Amino acid sequence: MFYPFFTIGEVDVDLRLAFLTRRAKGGVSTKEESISVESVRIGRGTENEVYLPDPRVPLRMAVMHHTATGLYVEAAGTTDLRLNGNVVRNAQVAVGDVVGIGPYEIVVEEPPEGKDASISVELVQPMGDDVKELLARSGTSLSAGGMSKRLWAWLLFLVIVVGFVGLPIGGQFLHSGDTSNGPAGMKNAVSFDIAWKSGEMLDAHKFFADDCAACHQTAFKMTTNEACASCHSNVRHHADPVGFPDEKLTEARCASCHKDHQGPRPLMIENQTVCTDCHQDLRNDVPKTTLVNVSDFGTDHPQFRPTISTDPAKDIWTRVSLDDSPKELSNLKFSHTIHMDAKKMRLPSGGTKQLACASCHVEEPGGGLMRKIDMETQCADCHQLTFDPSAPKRQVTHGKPKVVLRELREFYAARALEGGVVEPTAPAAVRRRPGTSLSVPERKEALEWSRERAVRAAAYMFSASQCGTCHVVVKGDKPSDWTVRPVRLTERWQPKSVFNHAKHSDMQCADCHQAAESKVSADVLLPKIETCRNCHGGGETVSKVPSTCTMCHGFHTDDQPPMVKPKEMAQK
Amino acid sequence: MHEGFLVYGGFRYLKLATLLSVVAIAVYGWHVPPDEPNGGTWLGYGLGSIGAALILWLMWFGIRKRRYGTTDTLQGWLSAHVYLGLSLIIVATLHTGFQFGWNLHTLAYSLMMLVIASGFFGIYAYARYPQLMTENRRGVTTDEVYNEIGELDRECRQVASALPDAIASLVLVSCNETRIGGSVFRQLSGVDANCGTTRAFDGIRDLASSAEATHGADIRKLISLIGKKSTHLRTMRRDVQLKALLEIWLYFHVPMSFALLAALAGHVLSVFYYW
Repeated sequence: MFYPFFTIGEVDVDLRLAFLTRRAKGGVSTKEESISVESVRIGRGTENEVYLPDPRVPLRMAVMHHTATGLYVEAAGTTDLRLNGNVVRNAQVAVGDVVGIGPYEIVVEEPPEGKDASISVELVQPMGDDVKELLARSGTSLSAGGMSKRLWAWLLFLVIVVGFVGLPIGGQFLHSGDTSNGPAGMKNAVSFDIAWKSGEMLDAHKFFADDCAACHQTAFKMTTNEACASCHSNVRHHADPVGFPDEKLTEARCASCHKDHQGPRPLMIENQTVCTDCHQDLRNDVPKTTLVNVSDFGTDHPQFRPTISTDPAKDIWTRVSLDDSPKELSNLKFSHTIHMDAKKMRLPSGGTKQLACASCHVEEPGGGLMRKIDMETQCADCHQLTFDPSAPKRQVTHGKPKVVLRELREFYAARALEGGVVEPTAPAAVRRRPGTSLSVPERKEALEWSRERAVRAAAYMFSASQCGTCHVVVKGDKPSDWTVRPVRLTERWQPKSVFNHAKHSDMQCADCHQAAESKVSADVLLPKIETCRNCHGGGETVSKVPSTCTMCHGFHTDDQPPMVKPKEMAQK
Repeated sequence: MHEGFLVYGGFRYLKLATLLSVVAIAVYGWHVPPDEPNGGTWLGYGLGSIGAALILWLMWFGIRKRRYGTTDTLQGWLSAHVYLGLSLIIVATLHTGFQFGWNLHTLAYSLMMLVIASGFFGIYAYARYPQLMTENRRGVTTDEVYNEIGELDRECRQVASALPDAIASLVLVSCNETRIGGSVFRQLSGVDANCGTTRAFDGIRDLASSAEATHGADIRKLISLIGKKSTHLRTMRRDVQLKALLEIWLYFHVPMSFALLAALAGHVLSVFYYW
């Protein structure tokens, strides 16, 4: 063969060239050719002796020469060669060496007879399937992009089970020694079960808000009354549990009316159905009751029935409806009309005085009740208990009729003993010059005068013009038996309800109490329910002040036994 | 029609879900709780039970849809799943009595609302993306497009065999470094800022001006082939994007459902544990 470009001054080499192709099912096919050139060019270009038709191979990759010591290979371009796996630019190669050229391998073999050298060429890294490789490189589904529904489902499921079920329950076993004692055994440590807390607690309960077991003492059991009673030990039954053994009352749970976790507002259920469920048909269900059915303050509530004294001699107090013109028999005579009339209110010191309601009726602090009327401070300015014009400042003690006669005797005995009495009808011994002594008969005379004078004064005091002005006077046979009937003034007109004057301070007294027209003390000046209903409606009203039962009435009744028996509490 | 589940059975389940919601609202309005409305009244327990049963039934859909050979249709199940799932918004919200807090109970509610919200996106996706996918592929299947791309690569290599190394190596970049989709973000974005084919296209176009005149025809052919490949790639990336959008909500919907299942179980347990 003649190679004009590479044979000048060089010695040709007879080269056996074998192209190997591996079959898919095993075996190798060989395509052999023999060439005689001075140097062997290797590359993608068709002019190369070793033509490697792969785009990964440069047009001219390497050149192989035959030298005295054998074959010599060198890189023709910028791409390096590999000799037995090592990167080289050029190298002397011997039989058995493997030269890597791009995706091809050239193995130097023992030359057959008559040849100078022999090499075999094989494509060891074929291009592969384009589509398959493209898809292998690509990610065309979200799961290929690293997303996993199953992984995240498990992860989130477990995080929540551990964090919101496992830890809260497990935490309680860690604290189980402390939880049975209620607030007394509480710890301040925050437990994981606060994640279960369904709502903000009542302010008064916040000091043990982190100890769920203070109230929730046993798992899967409703909170017990005993848990409440570990603090609230003095809460009373609604009705006599023996006389009215209704399960709705005797077995009532505190928590059915008092629900916590509803925020800082009061813990009491104010819905009127809690009461009216029973009370709207109480007379039918409990025939022996004296209570009247009630279902709504605005539409179905009995007239007020204040408890008043109806037989003061026997100290009998009776509930009387305001519709039945109640007469309070208090043993006190009093006319509001006169006392509210300034013309009739002449002061002992001269002049007149206009009284106001508040002159006598003063609220207790808090406004719950009125202070008791006190004669000495509220009546005595005008109603002075004087008995002798010659001693206009001397008064007898109020409220103790038994001591009045003694006080008078002592007063007049002292007068007689001192002498100087100016009354013309008095004996001479009493009218003697003060400081002079008394003879024995004179002493007797003076004592008799003083006693007679004391009885006269007592008769005056127990007359209609003094005690009798306000009181019922009882005159027995002897002056020492004279007395005044006890006054039965009402302190709480409606002991089963509360009314707060302080909350009505913007109103006038006369808006509710028709005192100015009351001439006798027997008048009951409470307003009727109709007056209240001017402003207050039932629980469901939209046009008035919604007023449920608990606005005026309490459930727990002071004179009933405790709701949780002391024995049950002692077990705690 | 992919949104056929919406009109299934003459809106049978829409009517059922509406009835359930209206009844729930009516009873809630009529009911006078002894205290504030909350999950602890008889109505609260009732709504809670209905809600919990609905959630379990809705999650059963995940099992039902893998079962074949049953007489009822999957489309009917999906229709019921969608409408009754939406009715949970009413039932569960009324169950809460609008009491919310930083606790397990509101966590369960929030997870439920997130699941429903993701499901809502699912409805939108099913109504919109399948149609967009069909329009995008213009009646050609994905396999056909992929084979076309493979064929173009082969042609490019053939054309490049006689071209200079710089151009041949760019053809290899186009063949070996192009990918479609990839990470979730890249799938959703629908583009590849580092696309091998785009780089090859730009590189070959730059080299074309300095190429030898004899290579002109081959280079022009190459540019034409790679441009055609780019068009196919755009189609497939949009296809992958739409498919990802069609599926992505499920990767939220399903794990959140299981988180909800755990929170719901914890909610029910805790309520009675601390009765």
